[in-house]
Amino acid sequence: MHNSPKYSCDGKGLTLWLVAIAALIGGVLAANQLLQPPAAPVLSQSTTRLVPARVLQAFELIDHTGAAFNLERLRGHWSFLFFGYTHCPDICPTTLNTLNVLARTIATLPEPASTPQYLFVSVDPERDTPELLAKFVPYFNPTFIGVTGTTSAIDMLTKQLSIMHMKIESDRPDNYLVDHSAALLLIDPQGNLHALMSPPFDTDRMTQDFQKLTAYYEAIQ
Amino acid sequence: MKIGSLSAFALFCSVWAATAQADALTVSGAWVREGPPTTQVLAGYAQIANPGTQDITIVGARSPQFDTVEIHRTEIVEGMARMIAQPELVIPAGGSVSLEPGGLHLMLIQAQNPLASGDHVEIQLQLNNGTQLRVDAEVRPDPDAGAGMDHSHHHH
Ligand SMILES: [Cu+2]
Repeated sequence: MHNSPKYSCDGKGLTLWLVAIAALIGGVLAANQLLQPPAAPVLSQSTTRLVPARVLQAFELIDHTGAAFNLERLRGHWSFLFFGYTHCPDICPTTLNTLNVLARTIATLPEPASTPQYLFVSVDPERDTPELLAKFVPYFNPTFIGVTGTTSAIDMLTKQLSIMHMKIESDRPDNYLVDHSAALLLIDPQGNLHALMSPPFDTDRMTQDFQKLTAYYEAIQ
Repeated sequence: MKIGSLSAFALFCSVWAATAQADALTVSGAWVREGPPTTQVLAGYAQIANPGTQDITIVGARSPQFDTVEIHRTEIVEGMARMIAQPELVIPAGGSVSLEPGGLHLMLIQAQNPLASGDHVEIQLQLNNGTQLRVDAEVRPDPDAGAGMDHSHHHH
């Protein structure tokens, strides 16, 4: 545009060359993108992605409203799972409060399609009835879902997820403690165990990891 | 008992008051995490300092508002979270011990009445020197619950 007429011919030729080279580079890049899968996400140290994701077998549990909670309810959206029990006053409320902060942070992300559900699965089904979970879990966030069931049904799920739990008998039969895995699990929209996050929990880091995992998952579908 | 000279500090912390007798422990920032209204088991936290020159051991705890009070430590070992009862807790001379979420806590078992934010819990710590330290802890939501999470409607 700013060239004098004297140089217009040279300038035009150069421009054509540049366009041709740019087109070539662009084409190669595009072809590369089509042929090569995107690079696997680089996650924080406390998040582990399972490769491949672990396929889960059917299980029959119940949520805090009394509705059936099965594998089907893990499909079609991402789910965060935490395991604990309502008679746990320290680590369980602490983690549920952390999950609430995480849920609020993730809710502000630009992609509403990846809004996950948050599940608190009891490892103390003896005491944790749906009614008790209904008074406990939504307290931390009204969208959180409590899940319980028979001891064998809970074991059916926890074994598949490599979640450990152990009742510690005490002299007061109604006042026992339960040791349990502290990890947070992430289930993908196919209902497969996709990743796990270990404490100490940092909600900013977890949000970034969640974004990377979901973006990568979408990209390779 | 009078709060006395501690009142200025209590203003800052707004959630505690402790009366020391012959002992040298000072307790600050004592609070009990509010739980869902039906919760029978709560956790209490505080900073316990020992400005004296001798170690002081807490050998027991109780509260008129709970059946049992135990000192616990939450530990995560090989991915497993467990609570381990601590029969005693040494507060070293010139040092302090912090009871905080995910670590040491007072396990308040079987509340006689439901407790909500703003209520106070009286906790008596039994010390190895034969004295008792009375701690007043206010019930309040977890600070992690953050702004925008208003728990007040849960119990009104
Ligand atoms: Cu405890």
